[in-house]
Amino acid sequence: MLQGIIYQATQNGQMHMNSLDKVTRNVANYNTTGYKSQRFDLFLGVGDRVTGYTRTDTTLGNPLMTRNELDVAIETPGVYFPVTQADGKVAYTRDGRFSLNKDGYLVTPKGDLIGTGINVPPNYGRLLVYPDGTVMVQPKKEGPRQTIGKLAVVGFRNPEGLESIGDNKLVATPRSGGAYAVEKVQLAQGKLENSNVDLYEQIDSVMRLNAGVLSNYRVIKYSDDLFRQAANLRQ
Amino acid sequence: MLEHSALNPLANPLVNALANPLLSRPKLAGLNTGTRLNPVLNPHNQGSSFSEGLMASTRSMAAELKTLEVHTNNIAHFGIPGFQRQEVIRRRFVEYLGPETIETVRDQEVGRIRQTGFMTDLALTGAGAFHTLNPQTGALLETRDGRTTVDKEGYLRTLAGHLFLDDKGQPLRFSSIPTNFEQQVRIDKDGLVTYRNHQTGEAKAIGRMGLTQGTNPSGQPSEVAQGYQEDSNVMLAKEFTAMVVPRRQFEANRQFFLMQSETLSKIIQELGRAQ
Repeated sequence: MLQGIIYQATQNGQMHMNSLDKVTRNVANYNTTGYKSQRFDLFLGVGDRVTGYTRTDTTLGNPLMTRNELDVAIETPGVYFPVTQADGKVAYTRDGRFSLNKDGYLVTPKGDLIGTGINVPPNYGRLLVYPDGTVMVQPKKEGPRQTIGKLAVVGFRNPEGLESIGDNKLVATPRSGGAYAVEKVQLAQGKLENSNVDLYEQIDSVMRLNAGVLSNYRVIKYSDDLFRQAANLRQ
Repeated sequence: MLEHSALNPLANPLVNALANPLLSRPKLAGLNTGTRLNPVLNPHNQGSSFSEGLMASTRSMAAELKTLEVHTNNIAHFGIPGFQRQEVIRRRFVEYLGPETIETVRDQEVGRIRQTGFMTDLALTGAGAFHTLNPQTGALLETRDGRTTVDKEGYLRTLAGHLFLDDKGQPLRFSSIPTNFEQQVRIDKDGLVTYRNHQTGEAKAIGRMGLTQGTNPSGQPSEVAQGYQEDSNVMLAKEFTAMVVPRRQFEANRQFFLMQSETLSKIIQELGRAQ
């Protein structure tokens, strides 16, 4: 009985700390491009144990105008750019702050190739990204445009199942299902997508979690006192 | 305990006096008939025995612990959306029956309905519950926690992985996966789930959520609110204050137990010396 209370309270405290972890992550990433707000939802699992589940808010963040031709924002929610990491594995991101590496490939700030690699010729003049993802260059003003590739955009059957691996990147898991190409997509050049973190909601969460954690630890103290009294019945 | 003493009560009338300290003198009437003297069960016994007093204190303490357990359980589930607190019902004869007299009943009061902005969150604005199915055990369940997820097969599930059922008892399933739940899925106040296919743009009803309607004070049926969540109806201040009385009761019973135990040991010592 008493042991049960203490065990449950400890478990519960742990879950509340996980929730708090997500809140601090959200606040820390308030200014991270393409970051999606997460929350750790508590629910009653088997045997009324408190367990949790990470949810991701896939709604669009606010657009930020940068006028940089290598910045591309995704204006369709729930879809991602695939990137090829240095070890050859594929990850996904919504961060559209691209740049060129020394070989002329479009890369993310961490140096991962966009898609399977889009090579931009030297002295390219002007680079254009169409809303459907087609990338073109225009070497001379008023000159002809030539297509150099297409920005691939993928979706998932269950985007909440994606796992964050840091550096603003996600990887597919069995829960998310495999990636599939999304044809109908809206991209915007010269824009970035801000995070969709709602600061006021985070403050509300912190206050509710605080009440939960504090009362939880009081319960542990309370049960401990009772435990001691019950154990000292034989004097 | 004393009543189970192997001592022959005929040879030791004092044993009877110890077990029935409130009797003015040992009852010897029953002894002549040859019945075994049991101070608790003997119908001629009008006093209470020490051991019975100790047992009563212990049972009361166990019952208070059970009461406290219910309150601590409520506090532990303070942050769980849709959780409904348990209320303690005490029956009489706690001193005889112990924790068996403590019963709990679910407080049906509706918690605060809070807007979350997550369109996957559902809340019932009044009494009632959503119908769900545990796919592992096949058990039909009810829940007020309306936070949903769509798995990769298109089933609408609770966070615990149970399937939401429609009003015909079939699991709710989307024909194709909503890539954007916020814009594609609408659940109206009667629980009708509409899904708009993002390729073709056509909207189609996939079913009505299975609901148990409760009785609301207004007489109106409960409605489903999409984008809202129901907080638990636990009030921390109320739970903590409700814990004060059982806590003191526990301490009082503990003190009583110690007093009785001390008196009993004193009697044994004193009378033992006299002999």
